[in-house]
Amino acid sequence: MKPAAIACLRCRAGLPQTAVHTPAPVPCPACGAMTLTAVYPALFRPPTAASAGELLATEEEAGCFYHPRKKAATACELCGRFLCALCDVDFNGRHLCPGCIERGAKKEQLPTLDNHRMLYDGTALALAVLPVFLCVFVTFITAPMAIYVAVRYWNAPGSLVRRTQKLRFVFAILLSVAQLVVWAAIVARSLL
Amino acid sequence: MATTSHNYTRLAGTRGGIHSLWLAGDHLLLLSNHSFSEEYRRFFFRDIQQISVAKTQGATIVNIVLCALILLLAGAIPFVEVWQGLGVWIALALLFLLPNLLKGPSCICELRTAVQTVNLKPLRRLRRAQRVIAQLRPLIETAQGGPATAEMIASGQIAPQAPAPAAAATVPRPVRHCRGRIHLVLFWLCLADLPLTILAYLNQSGWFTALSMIQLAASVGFAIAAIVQQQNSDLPSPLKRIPIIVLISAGFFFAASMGYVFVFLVAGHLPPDQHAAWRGDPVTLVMSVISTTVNVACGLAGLVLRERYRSTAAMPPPAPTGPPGKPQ
Repeated sequence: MKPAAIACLRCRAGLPQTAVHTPAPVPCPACGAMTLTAVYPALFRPPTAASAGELLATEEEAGCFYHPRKKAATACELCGRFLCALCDVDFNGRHLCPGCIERGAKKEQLPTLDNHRMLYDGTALALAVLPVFLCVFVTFITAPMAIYVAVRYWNAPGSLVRRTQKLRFVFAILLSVAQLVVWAAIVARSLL
Repeated sequence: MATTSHNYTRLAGTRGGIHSLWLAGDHLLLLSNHSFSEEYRRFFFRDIQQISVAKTQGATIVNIVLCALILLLAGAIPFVEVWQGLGVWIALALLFLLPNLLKGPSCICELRTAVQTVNLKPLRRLRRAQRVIAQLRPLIETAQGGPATAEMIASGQIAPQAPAPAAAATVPRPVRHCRGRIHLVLFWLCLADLPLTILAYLNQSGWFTALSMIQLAASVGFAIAAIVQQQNSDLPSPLKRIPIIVLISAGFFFAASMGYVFVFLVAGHLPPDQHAAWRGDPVTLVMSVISTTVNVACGLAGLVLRERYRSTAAMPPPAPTGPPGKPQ
């Protein structure tokens, strides 16, 4: 595969060395676009060849759990199974087996594999707040929905970066209860 | 080492915005907010090869357009009776122009690793991108054992980037069949807006106004229900967009109506009476016509798309060719 050059973001032409790591944007020699480029040692690191694992030389040597004829190179840090070089997965500096990674992803035990989360706190808050501004007449439907979502998913994991999940649930519940109280008062008044 | 939650520092992107960039101890987190769900992509410092930024003309174009709009509106003030309305629009335009000027020129930013090149959408301003790169540089160089030396750069021996994988290695979300019954009710409610609007125009009774309000409330409720029901369903994308359009247009025209009433109150006049408005006030008439047109268009398009989807879903699968039991 042909090595790539440090390329301009707009025209993909190669940039000279003087255009790299500049304190301010400099014009690209080809298209004139003001560019700022920062490169790091990983760009020049040759790709490491993956190892398929060594075969067992003698019967006394420990073998891989998944490939019994291959020599064990390390042990999984979660389950302790012996792993050959092929099965050994470098997971953020830890040596894990594919089975533990798959189980960790399914049971949400490995946070760095967590790449999608439902925001039930946002859903409950939207159900409680939005109808008040869009059309207040639907609040007698959306208020109970907001309370259900808040209670049902109270312990569900929230956003990775936001810390106000419980606060949003509480606000949604309070606002929804207030809406239902108002509806009850309207109905009671019309009946009396 | 796995990072626990709540250890992130925001680098770029606004709270509640669609894309944002966060900094953790050993990686960058690119967050995509889809209102009721979030998606995450992590870039570990030891894997980052290059970060590139290029200035664009987007912010400059927006500034020019907003300035032209402000000048146009300001020039029209002497010729308009109710100038307060124009004043509100000029203030709104200034509200967008001033922050755009303060934020500075726009840019695009890409991050490269050994297997991908990703557009960092939260870094849309040149000054912010420069600050973030300066902040990340010591962290990345520490993770990679030092900076890229002049000899490395001069050698030009750059590691080739791996070709993009054929399919994304993500677990597909289960798709369920949806009959679209809530959508059907919503589309008929949208079509009902036309006769109700005509009747309200011809007959000045308050009952038709009340019916219109009920129709609006029901449309909003069914639009929300349709949006919730169509998540992860097999409904076609154009059909899924219609409840969203109905909801947005209802919110927009509601806000526009409130804004129009507010303008009259600020000016010290009473807002036009709903019943007399059709004949006397062109603004409410135009808003009603546009709103009804949007509703009818959504209703018709929705019914057609839903019928097309149902007929496609009801078609039997193609029969296998050749006699049974014989290999093909």
